[in-house]
Amino acid sequence: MEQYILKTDKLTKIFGSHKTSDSISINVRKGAIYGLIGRNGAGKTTLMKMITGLSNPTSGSYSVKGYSGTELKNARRFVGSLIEAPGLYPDMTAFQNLKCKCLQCGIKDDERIMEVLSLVGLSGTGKKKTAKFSYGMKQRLGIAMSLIDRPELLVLDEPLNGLDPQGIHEFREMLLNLNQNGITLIISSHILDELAKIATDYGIIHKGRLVEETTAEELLARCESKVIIRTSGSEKAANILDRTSIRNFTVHDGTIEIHGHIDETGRINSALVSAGIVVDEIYVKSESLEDHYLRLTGGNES
Amino acid sequence: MTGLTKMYCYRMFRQKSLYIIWAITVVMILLNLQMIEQRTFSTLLCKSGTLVTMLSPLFTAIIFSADHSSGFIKNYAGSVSDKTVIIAARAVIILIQNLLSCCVVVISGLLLTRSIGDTKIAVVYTMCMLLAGLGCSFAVMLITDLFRKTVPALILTLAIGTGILCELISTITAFATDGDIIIKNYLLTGMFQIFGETQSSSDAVKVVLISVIYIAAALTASVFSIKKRDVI
Repeated sequence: MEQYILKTDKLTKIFGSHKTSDSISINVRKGAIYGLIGRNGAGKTTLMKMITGLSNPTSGSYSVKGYSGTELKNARRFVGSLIEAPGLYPDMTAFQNLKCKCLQCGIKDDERIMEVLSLVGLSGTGKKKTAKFSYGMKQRLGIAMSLIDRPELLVLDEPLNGLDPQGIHEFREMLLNLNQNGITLIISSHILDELAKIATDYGIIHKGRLVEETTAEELLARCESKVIIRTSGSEKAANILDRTSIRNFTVHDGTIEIHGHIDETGRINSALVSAGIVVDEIYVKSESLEDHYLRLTGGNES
Repeated sequence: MTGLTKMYCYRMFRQKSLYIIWAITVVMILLNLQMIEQRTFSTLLCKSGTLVTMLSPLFTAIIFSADHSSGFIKNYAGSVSDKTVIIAARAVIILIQNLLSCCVVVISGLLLTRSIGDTKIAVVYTMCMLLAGLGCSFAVMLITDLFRKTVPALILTLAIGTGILCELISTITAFATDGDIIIKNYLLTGMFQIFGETQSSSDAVKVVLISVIYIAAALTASVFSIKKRDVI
């Protein structure tokens, strides 16, 4: 059985002289929640458009469920997507928009429409036209549209944008539920903390290139941990640390950051206190997904 | 393709613009009836037939530009096995819409005049009306896909359907060639107008041939465009 539901091989997209995606090769495991991370203009949406058939790659290839090239047409119906803003007819109701999609997919049963509307919390919209929907409601309907044909792979581009905290929480629960029911998810998001709560795999894209692809477990292991010491005698403390063979540290504004040595906090504290240094605070800080991402992509680089 | 066609049909019959266009058609027929001396169906048809060539493309522009302006095309264009079926489905809808529009003209004309007049003229003109409507509609389908924005598509559609574009091009080329080339004789809306005035069999043949060329060229270009260009 195919382990990966989606594999891309050096997918490239060039607009004029600008390479939006540059030889991107990702592997999405079946059943995973794959977080695609990158800043605005990194190439996430372009990649998603290519794998959902909305954009033609300039070069490279990809396969869905093992189908590639001309055989991709056999796999298209297994992919649902919500790319950028939801595409909805403004003069139609939620039901009618979904009915259009059902007719296109060959789904005859209106029960499926009611089921999906209920799943996304829009079953009470009645005759309200989508032009009058709030942004959150449109997002939900967009998700419903992508779910109607029971996809095995769901590609969501910034689905949490514009949602309030309650909406984000409900959305997250819905995505986890979908994943537990066997749907593989590819999600791009700027809200890294939210992504970190659900993603099992990550692909970090920067300036059109894939800089890292990893699982959540590997990322956790790789994320750098530091010992943080707050003291008013930071200069003296630095000398003490140097004498105790701890050299990989930085000092600024009364705070010392020691890279690694997270199992030696007792020894470090003892050495400092013995030297008469008042330690206000000492703790271990693990690098968050955001910190890791910023470190990989150059932080505040424009 | 069946699914897409059903989807477009579902959408078409829920568009208010479809029924507004038909209502305008009937009103224009009523008005035209007041302006003709011989109140027969064939005479009325020669006066009113351009309504279909003007209004059907307008509907085409409205329904298909909405796919792009609303973004709904994202929901299905990526999941079809071959993007050519999108053009095929649209072609079927254009055919259905033009057939129905012609029926509106014929039925309302017959009901109002109660006299068919010259049967041969009526039949030939109805056929030319349908083909010219299809030709202009397919051309507009291509324009809609190329521009992907409602306003420019509608402006060009109105220019085509009302014959303004035809007159403009004719004036420019006549000026440039000192009247040697009359482009109106070669453009669909111009030829259809000429046929309405002369009702000659050779003019009818020209309308049919040029309509078929418009349809074939628009379909070919549309298929090429949808396969080569990104959907969004």
